[in-house]
Amino acid sequence: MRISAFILLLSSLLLVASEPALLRLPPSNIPPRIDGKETPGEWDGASGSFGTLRIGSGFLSQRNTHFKIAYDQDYLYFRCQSELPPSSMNLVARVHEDQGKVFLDDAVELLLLPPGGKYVYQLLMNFNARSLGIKYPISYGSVSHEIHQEWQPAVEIACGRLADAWWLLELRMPIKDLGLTAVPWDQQWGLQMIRDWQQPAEQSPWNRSSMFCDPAQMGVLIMDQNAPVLNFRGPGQDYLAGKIDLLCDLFNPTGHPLALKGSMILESDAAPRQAESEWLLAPAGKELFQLRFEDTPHTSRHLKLKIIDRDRNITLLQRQFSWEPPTEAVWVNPEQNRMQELDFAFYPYQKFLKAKLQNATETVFTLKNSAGTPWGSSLTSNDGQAEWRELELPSDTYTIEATAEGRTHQRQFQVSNFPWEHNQIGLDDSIIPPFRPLQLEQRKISALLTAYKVRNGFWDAIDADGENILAAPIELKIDGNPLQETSFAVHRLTPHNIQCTSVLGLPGLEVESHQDYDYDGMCKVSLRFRPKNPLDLQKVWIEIPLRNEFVSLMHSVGNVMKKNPALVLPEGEGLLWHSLMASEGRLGKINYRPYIWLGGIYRGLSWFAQSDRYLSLSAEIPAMEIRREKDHLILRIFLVNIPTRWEKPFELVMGFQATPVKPQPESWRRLSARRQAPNSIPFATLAGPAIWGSDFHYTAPYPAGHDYSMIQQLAKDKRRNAWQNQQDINEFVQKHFSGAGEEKQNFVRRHLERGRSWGKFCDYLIPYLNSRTLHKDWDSYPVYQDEWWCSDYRANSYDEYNNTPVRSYQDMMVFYARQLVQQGLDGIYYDNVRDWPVSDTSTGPAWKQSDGSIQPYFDIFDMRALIKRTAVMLWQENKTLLDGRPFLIAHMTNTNLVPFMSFTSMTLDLEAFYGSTDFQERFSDGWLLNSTIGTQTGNIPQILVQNSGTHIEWLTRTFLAVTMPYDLPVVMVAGGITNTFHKSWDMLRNFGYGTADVESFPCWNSPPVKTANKDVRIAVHRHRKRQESILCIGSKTKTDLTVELSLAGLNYQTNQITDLENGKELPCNGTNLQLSLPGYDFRILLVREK
Amino acid sequence: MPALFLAFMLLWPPAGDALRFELNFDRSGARAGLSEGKPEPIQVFGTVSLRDGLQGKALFCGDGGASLRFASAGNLNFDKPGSLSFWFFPLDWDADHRYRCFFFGTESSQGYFGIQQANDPKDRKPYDRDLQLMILYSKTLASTVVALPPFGKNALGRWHLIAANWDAGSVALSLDGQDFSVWQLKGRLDRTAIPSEHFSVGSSQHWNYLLDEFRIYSRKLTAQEVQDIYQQGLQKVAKKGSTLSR
Repeated sequence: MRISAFILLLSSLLLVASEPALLRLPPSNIPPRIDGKETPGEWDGASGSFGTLRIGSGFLSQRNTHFKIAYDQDYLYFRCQSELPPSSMNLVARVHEDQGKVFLDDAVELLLLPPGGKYVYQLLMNFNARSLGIKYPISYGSVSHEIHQEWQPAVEIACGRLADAWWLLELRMPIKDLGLTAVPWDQQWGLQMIRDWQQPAEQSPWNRSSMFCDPAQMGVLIMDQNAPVLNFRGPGQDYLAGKIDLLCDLFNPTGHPLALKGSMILESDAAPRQAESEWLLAPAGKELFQLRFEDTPHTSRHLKLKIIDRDRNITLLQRQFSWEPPTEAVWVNPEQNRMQELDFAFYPYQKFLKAKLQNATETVFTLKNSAGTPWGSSLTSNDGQAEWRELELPSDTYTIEATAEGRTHQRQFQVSNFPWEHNQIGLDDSIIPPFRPLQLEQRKISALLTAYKVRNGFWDAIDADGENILAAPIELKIDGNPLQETSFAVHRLTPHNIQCTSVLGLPGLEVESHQDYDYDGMCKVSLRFRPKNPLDLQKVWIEIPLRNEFVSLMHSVGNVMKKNPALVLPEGEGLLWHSLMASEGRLGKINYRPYIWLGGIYRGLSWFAQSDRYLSLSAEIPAMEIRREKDHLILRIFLVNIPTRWEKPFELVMGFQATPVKPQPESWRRLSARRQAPNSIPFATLAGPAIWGSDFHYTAPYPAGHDYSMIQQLAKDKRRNAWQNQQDINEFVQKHFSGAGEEKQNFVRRHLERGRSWGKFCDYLIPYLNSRTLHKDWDSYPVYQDEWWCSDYRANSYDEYNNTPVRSYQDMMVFYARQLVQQGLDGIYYDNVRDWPVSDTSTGPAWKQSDGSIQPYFDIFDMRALIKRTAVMLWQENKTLLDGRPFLIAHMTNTNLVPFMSFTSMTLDLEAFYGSTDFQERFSDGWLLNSTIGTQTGNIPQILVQNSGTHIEWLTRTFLAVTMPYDLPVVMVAGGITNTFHKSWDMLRNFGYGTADVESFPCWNSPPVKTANKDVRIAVHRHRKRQESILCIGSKTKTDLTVELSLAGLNYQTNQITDLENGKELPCNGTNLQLSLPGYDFRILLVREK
Repeated sequence: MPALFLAFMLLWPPAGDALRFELNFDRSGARAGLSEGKPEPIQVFGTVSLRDGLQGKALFCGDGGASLRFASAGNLNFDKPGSLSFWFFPLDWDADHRYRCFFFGTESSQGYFGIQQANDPKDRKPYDRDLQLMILYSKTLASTVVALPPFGKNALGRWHLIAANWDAGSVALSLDGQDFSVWQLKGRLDRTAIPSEHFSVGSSQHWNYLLDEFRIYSRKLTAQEVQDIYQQGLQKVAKKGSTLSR
């Protein structure tokens, strides 16, 4: 989940626009010696190409590389010459074994896809001549980078230094190790050559690419007996200084003359430069193709080089790249980055500052302003730590000094003020649609679709859409004994909030259960434990018995997004699942989980808690388990499962929320993403944020320069016609991105134009924001980085994930979100709405364990607050869907947390498993039912899809075979979808799908058309005004099927069946239809009563 | 995310940028697969025997096992802050007394820096003795022995991670991904204090264990990185089906 989806989309679109690098080369009669040394003439038989590009870009890397390739009957030869770092630094070359971690070093990569090959082969090599070989199996013409195998070709590699300025790498590889038995003449290879730099890390490919192993992003190599040897040397060693000397050597090794033509075009803001030549190159003849001039270096330049064979009219060499004046240091010495010994963190909203001098004992801390004046008294510490509280600091730059053992350490931080600080946006008591005020009747608290009947600190009934889902009361059990209530009182009763407290007891223990209900039905429970005497315990747990008939699904998170369990629970009794049954993920064995939900398509119950502080849990015994005992489906959440003693009071805070939270909007099926479809409500997520004028790279929630002029053009009164005059776009780009380089300027311009094109037809334009992002270039970063970044002390870091929406972050984000909608946009999209561990003990209940390590907390309540405040703000600004609920989108792949999605109106899922596998193999039924369909939280389900490879049409069909039966029409296409997708859904929309005229039954909602075949999914869309239905049928299996369908549920007297794709009528025997269904394919049928 | 990083995400070691020496015994036997200095051992004591390890192969150490000595130049530098980490699996620690359990050290009478299970009390098995980091015999740095408490018999049959940090004024030890316990030194830790030109890994005598994934870093590991190393090890063990401490 991230804007990487959009990077991928944009990259793939841009890659289509530029022509791939191409080399057509003859066999070489001069096999070079592989010794890492330059011997005159030994590579004369090789064709060469200059330059590597910034990843995903058409612009040259600032560090130079030149490649050469040659071949003969048996071998492929490869040469890479790349610049060395300054003499004060060395190449990073630590790996000394083949198949070792070569990717940690300075490396050269060679990727090859032989003609008709089954694999993309990849070889990484370092300066020690060590290599790492991998191959990726081809599927439908593409690869998935996650699927690969070891590959160990019999290569010979040698490396050396050339003139103390270049790293020279030479390679010889047997062609047979590429799966070939002979040279494949005149056939196209995929070729990619890469220099992986260190100091700093940068990957730079020869052919423009953001995914090196993707065949569609590789350059082209052709082995041609009648081609000349061509060596493009590049633009000259001083090209960045404006002394341009583009050179290409031509040599004819064949026995006959070659009629060649070359063209070099160099475009820029200055006068275009061009060279064209034709040659009739005699056998063994040589020529030089050159374009040479001097010019001021301030501008970007764009080169197109092409050499063709005039007689055969084929391209022999093609190279296209751009360059711009250097913008930053080329080499960075990592020794200059040292860890600070004095750590600190400043929390402006808390008025709190803490500092820690590592390895210190007695330390004197002093805080000073920019004038050097101490702020308050110095603090003396015996353990190297200090804290300042209730700091009221005016805007300034402050210095913390820590003196120990005669040495003084210093760190600085800034204090500034911002217009968004301490606002109250979204914090009032409004109850937004579709929710209604809470109701209290004796002990029963009712929200829109759920209700809770309080007993013994929890509940003895929870109503979910009219049914009590509890099989027995929820109880807190202490060594098997449930606590009994001794008192109950309601002490706050408002339409938006009800609070009540129960006191429970056991001999020696009093527990106060404080319940705080929000109007969406979320209940925050604070359990305050007060042991009267030391209490030795073995097991304490919360027992949640649900009625088995309502529970078939479970979903839990634990910071392993895309691998979170989202399961259909197994049949049978006994232990069904426990929290140590973790999928693979970054945390390995996960036990404590901050969230779990159990339920069915609609009804269910979630539990969540931010922290495991005060819990006594074994790492080896599950902290949660799900059991079925006859008709009870029991969730046990352990608070204690190892012998422990309670001596002091403590508090546990958790939340419960039943589902369904709210109904899905009635018109949701009419929404259409970025397309004008029949009977639809088109909307567009403006992502990446450059579309609305944000500086893409630092994803600030405001446009560049706080200039809202681009957004104003997307307001409802202007958007339909704003595309007609786009001069203001150029002005905006010049004003705010003039120093950014041409590549960036073009990028922003393209995005702004895209927004205008969507404005022509979209009813809703929703700007992309990221709920967990931070960048060093934000004006608030110097002041708020510690409060927002998820570490316990200042990390000087920033990224798009590792930030927490504490109160100050909410204030900032909601303030700017409101600006965006007030200036003309129609809602908000938040990326990264997911669980996240926060290791900051000053922003939430992270805690230091006895061994000193920090146990993080999950910021569930802060993220919920951000979403709720945004929803309230949108409603107040009238940025709503047709039914009045705010238009708020949460991108949440595989992290469908009810307390988050309660206030959103659309969720975005399935940003995973992009590539070239059949769609049936990407997502399980458990995932789709738990996380995607939106029924439990009342959200419109939107999904992402991306296909690659040569079988896009087929993959589109497999996509439809899953998503049509699942009734998932709202799709954000990240690439690789054909018109079959649009045609299929347009058939439904023209039929009346999404309107009140058509009743829809997805495959999971008991459609009236049945089949006994479990490998088939069916959705039925029945017209209410005429005797017609559309069936969307999808196969779950690779095997071709003959499917028997029963149409009796439609209650048509006689049935006429038409295949809507081809218009053919299918024979129908009364109410039984026999249908052939190819493996993984779909059918869309119209059923009419004759 | 760069394409290369995506492909190798699961292989990428924590603090990979600072890795300067790695001995994993998988492909190169007793030779370091990654090193800034000389990768081959300059001396081998005992018999090199490789067995199934945390990942790939591990070195069998102790009685009948091997100790490997490597050149410090380029690989280990006490002039700058650094770290080391390694995994070990106790073997037969309920056997009769075998005296010592040595993991790592710069064996020099001019300055010794080493990690071992404590030699005492001798009536206890090594799992009931402290884990020690010792600095001895230095001419410029006071002798220091710092220790973590025993991990106990319950932790037998599992892989354990040891990590150590150092800088000029302190040393730190971590067991099994826990945060570092830090001790201040009296004097300055540098190459003058520990001038040994070699270091040894493993042991050819005494208590047996398996050693795997020995690494030296060119900076101090953070607590998070030690956790990440530990968790990566958990994943490998989970795949193999054996158990781990904690």
